[in-house]
This record gives sequence, C-alpha cells and structure tokens, in this order.
Amino acid sequence: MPRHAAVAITGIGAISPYGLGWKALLEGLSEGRGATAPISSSANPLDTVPVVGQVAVSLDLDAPEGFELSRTDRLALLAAREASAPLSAVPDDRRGCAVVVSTTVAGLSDIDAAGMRDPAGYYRRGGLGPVSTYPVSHVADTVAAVLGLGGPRLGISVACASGAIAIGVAARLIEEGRVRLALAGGSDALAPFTLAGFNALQALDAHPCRPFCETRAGLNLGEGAAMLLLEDEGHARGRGAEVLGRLTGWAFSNDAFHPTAPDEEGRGLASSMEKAMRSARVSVDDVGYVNAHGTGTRLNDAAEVKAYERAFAGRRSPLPVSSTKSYIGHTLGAAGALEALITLLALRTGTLFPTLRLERPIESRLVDLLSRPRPSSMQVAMSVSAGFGGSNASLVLERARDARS
Amino acid sequence: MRGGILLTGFASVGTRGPIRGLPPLDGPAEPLPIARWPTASPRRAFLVPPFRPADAVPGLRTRRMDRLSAWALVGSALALQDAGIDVPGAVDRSRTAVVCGTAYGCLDLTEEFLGALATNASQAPPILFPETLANLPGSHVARHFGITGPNLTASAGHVSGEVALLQAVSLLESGDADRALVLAGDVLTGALFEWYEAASLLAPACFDGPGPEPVAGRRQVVPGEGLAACLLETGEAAAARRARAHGRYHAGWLGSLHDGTEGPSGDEAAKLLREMLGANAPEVVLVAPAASGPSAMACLAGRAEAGGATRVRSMAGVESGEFGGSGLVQLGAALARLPETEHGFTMVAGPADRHVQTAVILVERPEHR
Repeated sequence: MPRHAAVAITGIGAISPYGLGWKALLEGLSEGRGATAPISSSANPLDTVPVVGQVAVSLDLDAPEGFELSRTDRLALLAAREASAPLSAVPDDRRGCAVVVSTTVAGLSDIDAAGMRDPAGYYRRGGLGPVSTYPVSHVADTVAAVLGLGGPRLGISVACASGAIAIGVAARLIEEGRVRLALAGGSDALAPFTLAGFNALQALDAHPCRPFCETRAGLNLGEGAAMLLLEDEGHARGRGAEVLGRLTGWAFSNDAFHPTAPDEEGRGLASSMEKAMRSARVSVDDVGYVNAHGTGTRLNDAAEVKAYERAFAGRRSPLPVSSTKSYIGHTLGAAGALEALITLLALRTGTLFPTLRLERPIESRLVDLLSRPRPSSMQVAMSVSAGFGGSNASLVLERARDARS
Repeated sequence: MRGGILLTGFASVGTRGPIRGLPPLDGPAEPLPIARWPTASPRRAFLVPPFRPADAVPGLRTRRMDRLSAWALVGSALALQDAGIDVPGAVDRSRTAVVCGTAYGCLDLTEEFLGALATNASQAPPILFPETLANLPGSHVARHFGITGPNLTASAGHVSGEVALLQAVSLLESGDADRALVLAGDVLTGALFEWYEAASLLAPACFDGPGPEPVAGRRQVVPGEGLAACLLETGEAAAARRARAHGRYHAGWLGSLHDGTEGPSGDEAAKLLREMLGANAPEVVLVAPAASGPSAMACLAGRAEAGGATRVRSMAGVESGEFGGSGLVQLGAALARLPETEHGFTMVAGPADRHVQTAVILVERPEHR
C-alpha cells in the first residue's frame, strides 16, 4: 500500500458565489449564509428557473497575446492569481512551477446559439478565438501563460471528481521530484450545456438544495474556482514560506457500476477513503471531519452515507460530516478544489461548517451529519468527491503546526 | 522499482481500423480523401473507417456511445488480449488503473448535444448528456471490465497520450496500481476540421493541389483521429503471470523546451537527454511520422546530438495525423522498431513550439537494465 509524502500548502485562492478571494468564501461560510438564488434570466436557457450559485463580481481581465479567455478561464485566473501570490517573493521558482487545472465545460461555458446550431459555419464566420478555449487543457495553458509558470501543465476532466484528482496529480509531481511547486485546482462556469444536461436528468432541485436531508430533491449547480499552491516541504522551509496546511494523503478509485448513478453500497467511495487514510498513515479515529461530496440527490447522498459507514467502521465516536454544496451549489470541475480549500479553512479556523437546511438528516449511527456549526480542535480532515463515470477521490489534509486564521 | 515498468500489450484504432498488437509500419503514407462530410473542394485527413465494434470484440455493445468511447472499449479489449489477459478477472482489478488522454473529448456527441440545446434546451436528450463527458470512455472501460482502481482523464492537447502514459507510470511507481490501461485518442468531426482550415493550420497534404499559402508562425498539421491503447505493468506483476513484453519504459519528461526564439534550446535538449539516459548514453532512435514535416523534435534531436548528448537517428513512425493519441501511436511504432535498434532506446517526442509542450518518452528493449 503506497504511503504518500506530505506536501505543503503555501498559497490559496478562490472565487465563488460569495465573491473574489478566499476570505469572502470564509466569511460567507462563517456567517452561515447561503449564496444560491434563482438564476439570472440572461444566463438561463431553460423554461424553468433553477436555483444556482452564480459569481456576480466583475471578471474583467486582459487576455495575454494569442489567447482568448472564456468565463471558465477568467474564474481560474482570478483564483490562481491569489494562490500564486507567494511566488512573487521567489520569481525564479515560477519557471519550474507545474500547473494542473480541472474543468468539465472549459470554454463551452461561452458558446452562443450560433455556435451550438452550426459549429462549422460559426468557425467560418470568424469564431476561431472562442473555439480555442474549448479544450480542457486550455485553462491550464492560460493560467501558465498569464502567470508565467513554466513547469509541466495539464488539464484534468473527471466530471465532479476532477478538482480533487487535479490536486492529487499535482502533489504526485512534487512527490516524484519532478517539480518543487505546483498550482493545482479547478474551475467551471455556469453553462447552458450543464444546466440543460442536469435538467434533462431531472437532477436539479427547484429550491435551495438540502444535502443529506430525508426531503432532499436534487442539486443546485454553481460556478467558481479554487487553486492551491502545493510545495515540497523542504523547499517551503528553506525559503521561510508560511505553511497553511499539509496534504498528507490521497487516493482514487472507480465504482465500475454506472455512468451516472453511484454504487448503492458506496464501495468505490469507501475504497478511496480507506486508501487515502492508509496513504496518510492515519486511523479512522484520527479524522476529525469529512467535507462530503453531498450533492443533494437521492441516490448520491444515500450511497455516500453507506460509504462512510464502510470506510470508518470501528470508529470510536460518530464521524462529523457536512456538505458545503449547500452554501454555493455544485461547481462541478471546481467542486473538489473548492471543497479541499474549505476543508483547509475548517482546519485553520477550528470550525466545522454544517450542511445548511438540514432538518431531517439521514439516519446513521456512525455518521454525525452536522446541522449546526461546531468548534473543533481537529488536526486531520478529509475531503471526498465523486463524479459521473464512477470516479472517486479522497484527500487527507492536516492542520499546519502554527495554524492561525 | 524492481523489474521496472513493462509494456505488455498494445492495440490501436486507426486508418486500418482496429488492430491488435503493435501498429504495422507499412500503413498509408498519405491522408485519404474525406468523404464522411461534405467539403467545398477535396480535402484529406487520417480518418478511421467505419466498423462495427462487435466485429472486433464479440459481444461489445456500444450503441449511444460516442465513437471515442467505442474505440476505447475496442482498444482496451485488444490490448488486454495482446497482453495475454483473456479474462480480466485473472488480475486484481482493484489494483488496475485506467488512464485516458484526449485533446477534445467526446466531440461527436458534444456537437450533437449542442445542436439539441440550440433547438430547445429544456428538452435536451438525457441519455446524451453523460456520454459527452471527456471521462466517459475511461468509465466505460472500467465498467465493462470491472476495473475499480484509479481512473482519470488528462488533457494536454496533442501530447495528451504522452501525458496519460506518464500519469500511468506515476501510479505504478507510487504503488497505487500494479498495472494500467493507457488509452489516448480523439475523434475528428467536420466542424473541427473546418476550424483547422479556418485557422490556417492545415498542411499542404490536406489539399489536392497546392493549398493556401501558410501563415507565418502557425504550425501546419494534418488532422487525424483514432485511439491507441497499451497495458503497462510493474515488472513484478508481469513476471507473476510470465507476460512477454514489447518494451520497457525507461524515462519520460513533460515541459517546455522553447527558448522563445526559433525552437527548442539545444543546451536544454542535450541536458535533458543526458539526464534521461544517464552516463554512457547509447544511440537513441527518434521515431516520428514523416508527414509531420520539418519536425521541431528532429531539430531538438539534432541539437542534442550536437551538444554531445548521444547519437540520434531518425526512423519513420506511423502516419496517423495529429490528435490527442498520436504520440501513443508513435510509441507503438517505436516499440515495433526496437528489435532494429542497436542499443534498444527509442524516443518518441511530441511537437515543440511556443504554444505546445514537449513530451519525451524513452523506451528500451525488455531485456535491457
């Protein structure tokens, strides 16, 4: 069984329905304020009006020469700029910094009706620039180009497990010694593509979602981006960097069950959690909190509770779990990254953020589904993600030894 | 890692349809006329001829899947057969990974879904949406074979295949898996081909006749489509089932070798190859398709040789056009060339220009240490 070497987290950045910056995200979570609302009419392609988490702040950015920027690119850049700020003190390190960014829609977030109806005609009429933003890798390429990061770069697209997998992949680059620094995270903008897709699957809740609640009726989509600056621990110590937390373990698995539905018994997700804990050398009792995938759909949440009961069997006290998708919605390719960041903030502040609107939690003897905020002196927490296609990802994070808010 | 990492199975879906084993080196040298979609005047590309997946792999059901998903199932089945694994249950599927690389993902169905949105977004077909996701090919493979290990899809433009391979190597070296199916490919749609043309990226070989004047500073490509699949195993895992190997992975690298002027830095290239090969570097054979034209990688190889890194010889690969899996196809060609090389190293390299990363994969004969 592999044991991963710990990787330091020395920078964080985010943009969410709460606004620009990780502090805005923390403020919203701390106030227990949901950030979802009925979608604006200009962004709504549907006959109904879904509840979503929309980013309302300006995304004005100058595009670098030769690059077109989609909304997904802009979200990524704003989060990446904040997370990479520590690199301003070590400009030489930029040249070798890797970039691993996940997304599901990439530049399809911006495609217009003409492009949808007749792509070839759209290209002939001069839609070349926007089309260049469609490949998944474009987001990572853009972040690298704008921020001057010269290490290896790649895009990750594994549906809703993407963000967590991007972080694990980047951490592995550092563990292997290929790079000493890596900017990792995810970005997704609200898009007609995904709104229509989830609507077609009847997966959307017409009201603010209620993950893990017996009355839950589906998910709310959201948009945003989060980035973590990961760094070799020795390198971080050597340059006197402030260590915000540590990524000490990770693992991926697949349900091999169904394209959209999770394994009902939660076996695949449980497997990823078990392996992640072993790779981090922590026991089931060491984990103080799990930030759940918790979409609010009937199938996911039921299966996920069973996954916790499997993975944490034998634990001495109930496992605190919550879904922060109840605050900002399901941000798809950005979700795993945003939730890893939220888990880190929980460790740093000593606060467990509850699931909003959780009035009748799914019953479980082992899983403590939080409906109220709770102080915690935990040292270790976990963030889990699952996605269409059956992929699961679990990250184990540890509080920094001198953590302060 | 004891025993290293071996390539024990290979398959491809290309201009000759599905092929089990290493790609033949005598395939079509020129792109073929496009008949699948209407063009204003004759155009050429490397296209996969239509075939029934169930003819290649009896019992395979691929209805409603994107062609990329169907090819992934065919390619992985044939690669497993080539590796001598006829019953996937014969190996520990929880310690088997599936790693996919693609530049554009499930483009056929993405375009179809977009068309449905344009008609009525509220009535979009539910069965179509999940099949548009870039990770669905890997998901179908996992489900078909019951593979529950790590499963991820990476994208890095036309070096997506190399990136997928390096991710798979990483999973094996870290101990997260004992074996990995690596799949890399893309489908070419009429709309994508038209984008290449509108962006002045098409090479002269795409036209009957001289074609338009090239635009300065723009790469020229022959678009292609297809998929390559290979099975990697740790030396121990391969030895446990007495697998024969096509080759052994030696080293890999991904990054930027561009010095901002005309091409890869010779000093950096020489340093890279010296680091990858170690002391007493033997001859290295660079495998690249002839249709790639004045290859920046051939330039890199030349500069590396001039820098004293090693002797570099070029050999023809497989003409496949450019797509996310074309590097993996060339890897297959490199493995096929291994018996011909004097010292067993072969280099497969992705394109290098100021907007595209360089990927270098070195493989050697299985018996080399």
